[in-house]
Amino acid sequence: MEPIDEKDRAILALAQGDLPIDERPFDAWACELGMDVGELLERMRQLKGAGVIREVKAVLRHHSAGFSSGAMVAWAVPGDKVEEVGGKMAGHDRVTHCYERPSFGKYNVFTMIHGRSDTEIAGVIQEIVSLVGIREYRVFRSVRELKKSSMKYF
Amino acid sequence: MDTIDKKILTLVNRSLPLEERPYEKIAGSLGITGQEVVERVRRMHKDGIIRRIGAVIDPRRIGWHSTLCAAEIPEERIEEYAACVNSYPEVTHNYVRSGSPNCWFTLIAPDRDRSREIISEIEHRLEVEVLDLPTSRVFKIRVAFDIE
Repeated sequence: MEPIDEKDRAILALAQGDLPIDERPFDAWACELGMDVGELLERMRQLKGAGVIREVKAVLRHHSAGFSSGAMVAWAVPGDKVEEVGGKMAGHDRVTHCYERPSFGKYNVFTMIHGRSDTEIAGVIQEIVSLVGIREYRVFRSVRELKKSSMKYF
Repeated sequence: MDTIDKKILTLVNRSLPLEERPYEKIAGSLGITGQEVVERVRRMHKDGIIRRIGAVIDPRRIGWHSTLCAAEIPEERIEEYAACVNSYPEVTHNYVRSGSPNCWFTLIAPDRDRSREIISEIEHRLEVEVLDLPTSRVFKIRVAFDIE
């Protein structure tokens, strides 16, 4: 895609905030940008196609949505297995995030798991163990949320 | 929440269509009107089930740097830790977790230097060691669920 221009930056500056909840929600943004809503949507589609916008969506409070438990699990994966194991873990439905982080000793692959209870999460961990054959891992359950916010980039 | 609320939540949590009337599109698959979807979404937003509706931007694609940080903080210093770390707008998530280290936060900064600067400021202010655990490979980022 073309580099992000001034119009795109102005769009992202609005889009990182709150979309009004209306039948025609993008009209308010288009109006504020002095842009036709068709052009706004076309540019947003391009930004999404380029991966700058991951998604336009509703961000939920997991707890209120019934996903009251969350755990981060750090797995000790041999270097030559990271690609294969990371891919398999990412394929599990309850794994929302999966990254390689090489600076935490031998625990180099991190997964975020969400579920309805600690029991469900323990079950998911066992499923992953069977799936990838990695038996060394550390579990960090969410105990208390101190901050959760959306970044303002522009 | 009734069954229709849960279906709406599952769909809008996945993606809002980039169309002039996105809720109409969602309504079509549920057999209700766009207006009814809007009213239900408004209510769920007011009730706090929906935190926000908007774009999720990939910091990497605009050249920003993100990392995960961890520190071991004694229980009696958690409030002090939270006040210090949360004061940075660059810190987006911050959790107390079981295990050791017990405190984990995510940091998103315009570049690696600013990220390191913030981490070292926090280390000095709290006099604790902060681990900097950047990502070298991303296998998955998907925060969407089927709400049942």
